Amino acid sequence: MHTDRLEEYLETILYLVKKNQSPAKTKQIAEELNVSSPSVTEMIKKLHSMGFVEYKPYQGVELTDKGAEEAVRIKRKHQVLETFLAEVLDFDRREAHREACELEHAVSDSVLERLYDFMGNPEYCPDGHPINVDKNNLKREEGFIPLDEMKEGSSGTIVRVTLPRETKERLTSLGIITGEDIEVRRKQKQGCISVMAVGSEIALGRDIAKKIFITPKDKSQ
Amino acid sequence: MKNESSRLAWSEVNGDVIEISSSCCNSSDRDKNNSTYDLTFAFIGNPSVGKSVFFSRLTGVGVEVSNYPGTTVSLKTGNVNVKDRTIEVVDLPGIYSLGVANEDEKVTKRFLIENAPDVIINVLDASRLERNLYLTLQLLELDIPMVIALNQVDLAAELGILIDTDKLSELLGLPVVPTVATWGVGLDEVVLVALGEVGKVQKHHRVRYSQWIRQALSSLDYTFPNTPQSVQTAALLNDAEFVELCCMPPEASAILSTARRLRQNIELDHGISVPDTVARDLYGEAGFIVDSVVSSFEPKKRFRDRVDRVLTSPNFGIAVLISALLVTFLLVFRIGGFLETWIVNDIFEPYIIQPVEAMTLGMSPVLRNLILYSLRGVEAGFAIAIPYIAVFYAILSIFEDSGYLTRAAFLLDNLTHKLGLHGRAVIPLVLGFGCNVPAIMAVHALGTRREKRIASLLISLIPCSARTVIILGLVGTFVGFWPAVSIYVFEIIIIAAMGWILGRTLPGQRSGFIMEMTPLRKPELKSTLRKTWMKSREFLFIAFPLLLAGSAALGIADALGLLSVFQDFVEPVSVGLLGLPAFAATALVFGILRKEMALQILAVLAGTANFAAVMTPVQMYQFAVITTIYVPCVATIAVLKHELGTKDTGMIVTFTIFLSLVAGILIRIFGPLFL
Repeated sequence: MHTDRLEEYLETILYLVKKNQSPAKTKQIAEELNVSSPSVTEMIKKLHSMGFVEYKPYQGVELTDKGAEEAVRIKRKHQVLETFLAEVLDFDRREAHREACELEHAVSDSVLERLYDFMGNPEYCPDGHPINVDKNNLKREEGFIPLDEMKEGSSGTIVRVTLPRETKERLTSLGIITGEDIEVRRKQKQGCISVMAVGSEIALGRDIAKKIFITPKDKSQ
Repeated sequence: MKNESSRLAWSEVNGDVIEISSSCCNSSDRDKNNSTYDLTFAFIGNPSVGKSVFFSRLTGVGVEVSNYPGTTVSLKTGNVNVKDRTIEVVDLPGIYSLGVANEDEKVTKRFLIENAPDVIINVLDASRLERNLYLTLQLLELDIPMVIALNQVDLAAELGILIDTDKLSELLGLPVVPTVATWGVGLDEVVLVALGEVGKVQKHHRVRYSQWIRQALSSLDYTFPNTPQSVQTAALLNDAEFVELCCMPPEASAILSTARRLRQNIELDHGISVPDTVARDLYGEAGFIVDSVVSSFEPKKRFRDRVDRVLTSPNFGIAVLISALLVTFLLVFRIGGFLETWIVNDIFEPYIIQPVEAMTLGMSPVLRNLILYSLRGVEAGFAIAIPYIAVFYAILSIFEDSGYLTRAAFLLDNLTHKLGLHGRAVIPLVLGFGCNVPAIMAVHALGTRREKRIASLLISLIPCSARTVIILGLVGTFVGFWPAVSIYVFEIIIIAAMGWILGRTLPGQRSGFIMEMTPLRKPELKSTLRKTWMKSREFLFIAFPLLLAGSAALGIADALGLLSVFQDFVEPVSVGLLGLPAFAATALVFGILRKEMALQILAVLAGTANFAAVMTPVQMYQFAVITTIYVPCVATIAVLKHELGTKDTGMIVTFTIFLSLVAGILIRIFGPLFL
């Protein structure tokens, strides 16, 4: 039971860090796991003493290398189990996810690897996430960089937009949508950035550019 | 087939002389009902495609601006007479898509469904065809007869983009007319072609969506065979408002819930987002169409591109911006001030006010005041509208048409963030120094309501040119130059502090800075004049009624002796708390009509224009600060009410009174230490 909670926490922190590209906040963890903030703080202390996480006041929790390794290992278990339940045993997607959450803490590494081989070493689990996560790529998942880190004159393909629905829709109607190519036209130090998208130039504030992720084109990098 | 019909209309234009005349519609016959018009044409297009120029050229002077019921989105309507038919033309707000992201888009959709225009005239910018087609493809699904006005073909050609209009017309299944709205090329043709399309069933091009979307749509079509495809697509995209407008409630909820299930299935099974996929399909289609109709060549490296680089470069760009703002401010202040003096002293006073004063000598004081004060209201309107607003709008529309405005906003986004706003707010804030009225009118483009509220409050605190008259005329002349400058510094600190506080406390959505950068081009004199005229007229429409009513009420109050009652009533505050002379309160009341009138009335009441003889420096400083802060002038209140509604306007008025009192008391306490 105790290890289960620990693993849940590590997994959640990994998820939040990856999703937000920033340290996980106590409040977010509490919401995600449906527990109270004080108990999160309590657990963070414990994880910290075990050397799994680092806590920066006002910023949040980040995984240490050891913590990331552990979290990735659990995550992988989850993904493999979920894939097995959904693809082989034909479970409903949601049910597969729920079951996997429970099983991941019980299954041993050797059983898991057998299962993985049995399924023919799939690359992605049913919801499109990669099964094999490289822990060095936590911050820069698959070479994405946020738009505000692109250089003037460079171009790339939009891979992810993590903004609220209304803003996302506005961007969509201006041609900024995943899969489209853009080129950075102007960039201010610490300020706005402008991109060419479907033939017209769009200026974006920094806080918006931060949440648009790009795979840069090789030649310009 | 469609080409033939468009050719037919073309030849009609070229052959016979067909009179297209426009006339003014007055509001009373619009209110009665819509049946006075035979047909309704709706203009739709992206922002800054020249749609408004198009519209105003077509309708001439008779444009009526009214809010769409229950919204702050204003629609322009006018009418055009063609071949004995009266056509109502409606200019819908500029939008990028038929989405749900903002009020303009929602209003456009509601208008299209509820008012069912006979023909949509979709204005496209030829230089940005691909992005513009996104909206066009969405509009096509509505199955309303449509005509495309392919505008700015001249600019596109300059940029090396040539468009095969016949091919485009064939691909989309509707007539396409190339136009250059700023020169008036092709405008009449568009209307004639549109007239030819009334009642026709156009065979519109359909977007070929991705496999999963198609499957979902066909299963929706199977379950709800009687609903149009636009409704099915909207349901799949979870646009409940649209579906509910088109269907009866039980059917709407049925189709929405079926669509929700389908959408969730797609998203779970294939890991794709339905709205994103639909949008990508639309862009894919637009890209395909562009590839088949556009032949582009590399334009020669233009001088303009280099200028463009410089305008947003870190150091030089800021230098250009500051000088542009200074020049604007100076021009508005100089030309505006000159024109105002001329209008007031050389036209109104000698030819209207004084003769009427002489004529009404024998009348009862109430009637006489009613007439005189109303005239003064009219005078105030002209003295603000023509000099400041017109000059301001002339300069603004040059900046706007040249594309410089978007570069300025780009540069200043960072700074305005600190005020709880974003780059686009720069424009109205700067406008405020000339006159608060056009500034608040420009707030409409700011996105969320939260930003409109912050910007409006900040603007109503900005010392406009009329307040500058008081600051310079009273403090600058009788107290000193530096004290006058200190009032500006003081004001700017208050504004920055208010922005900072509101930015952190005001609830509501923060919209980030997203703005299309319009290409640089040479502004046209004609379109500048036209825009100036349209905006100035808009101001007259909004502000005049209140200006007249306010002046008349003040006149009656004065005649009935209510003003002295008021003066006695506020004496504990004005004299007791603030330490001002009693007559200053009355002057402040007049300042609501037109800010600089406070100074004129002060001189009348004090019996001298040498204020140093009747007021202490601290009192003068206090009076100037209070007039700049307290209650925005009547015209400003009118536009505030138009943009934000009564409640917020009331709050701003109350707040500014409170703020001016606090400032007045503080000056009374600490002023003597400095002055």
